[in-house]
Amino acid sequence: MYRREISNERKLSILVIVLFLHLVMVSTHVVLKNNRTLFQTIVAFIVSPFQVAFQKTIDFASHEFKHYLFFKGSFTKYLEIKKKYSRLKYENYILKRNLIENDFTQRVKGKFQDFIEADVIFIDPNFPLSSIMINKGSIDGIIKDMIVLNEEGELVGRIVDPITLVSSKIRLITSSIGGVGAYIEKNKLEGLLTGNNSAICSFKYLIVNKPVFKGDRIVTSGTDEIFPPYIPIGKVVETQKEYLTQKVYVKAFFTDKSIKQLIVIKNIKHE
Amino acid sequence: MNRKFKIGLFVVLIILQIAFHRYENILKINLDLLYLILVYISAKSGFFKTILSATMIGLVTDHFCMNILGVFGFSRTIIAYILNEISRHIDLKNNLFVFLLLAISLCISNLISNIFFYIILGVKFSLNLLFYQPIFTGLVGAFILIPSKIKEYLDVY
Repeated sequence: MYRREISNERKLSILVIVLFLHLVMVSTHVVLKNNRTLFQTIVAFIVSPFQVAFQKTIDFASHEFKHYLFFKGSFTKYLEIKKKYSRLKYENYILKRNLIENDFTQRVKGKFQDFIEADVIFIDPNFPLSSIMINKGSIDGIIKDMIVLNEEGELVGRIVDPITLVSSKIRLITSSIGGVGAYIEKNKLEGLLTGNNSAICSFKYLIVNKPVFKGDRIVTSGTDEIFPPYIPIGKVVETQKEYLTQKVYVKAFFTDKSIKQLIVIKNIKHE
Repeated sequence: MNRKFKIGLFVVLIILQIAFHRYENILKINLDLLYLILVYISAKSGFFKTILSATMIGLVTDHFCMNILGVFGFSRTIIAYILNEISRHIDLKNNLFVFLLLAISLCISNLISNIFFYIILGVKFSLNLLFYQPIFTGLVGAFILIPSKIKEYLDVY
């Protein structure tokens, strides 16, 4: 009978595998000191590094995934909060503006019956105390020579040409052009207030016999028939006595305050 | 005819082994008749058959003795491999040689098994396993081969 020849190496390999399988079976009956069989211990010894590696991998992946989700959630929340913050900031700005406008309107309403609120839109950078532009024009009822006050009711200037549909020019009382008929509130000493394109105005033609002191308030006299009387203008900062007259320097009230918002008076209400 | 005889003889030996195992305590005789089948297969068959049958017979023997799977499987496989390798030099016609072959090989196989039992269970070396069983099994094997007709049927020339 033909018998297939098998190489010795192959025979030995098969024999070793079979014997190894027998030893594996035997090892399932060998109980060690830890009450586990040899087989269990060997399997655990072989498998445990993989198990540990797998567990660590899973833990790492889980940890990283949780972190990723957390960061993703946090980032989404951050974006939402940022958006909300921007919206609230804008709302806050609107509310603040409304509050200021209402407050301004309420304060002005107490003093003047008919007026137009206006915002300054342009200041001449070369002569900031000469003239300015406001955002109200003829369409809002602005006409020439209307007087302009700040929110405290102090004189700022008057409307001059050019007046467009949506904007108007204001010549400030500190401008070197023009003048305002005024007097010292305390002693009724009357004169002409002219500007110098600076915060300090000159108060001219005051006779020397009535003393003028620093801090005296200057108000409009109404004699120029442009500005109504009793509107506060400024206060005396310096006096110079000459032969028959005295020269007084006045600082306009509005120069120390904001001129962002102004009111244009149609019919002034006397206090 | 030879094939049927061989199968019949193997079946008889298996049944007798089961019977011996069952009444071992009463008969006081420790025989391993399956080992006879294994030696015959190792001497007459190829490598794969030898290894496969050694494994199977070893596992069955494990089931009969101590019930620790793998011990006799291991020892029987080694012996079967060795017998298979020297099969060209085995002369089954000589009954004395058959007896010595069976006794010595079974003694070595049982010695290997006993070492395992000693390591695993702490069982001391058994005279029964190392001496009496090989002697009795060798005698039975040699006795079976005494009639020349049986030798013929078993292809022992």
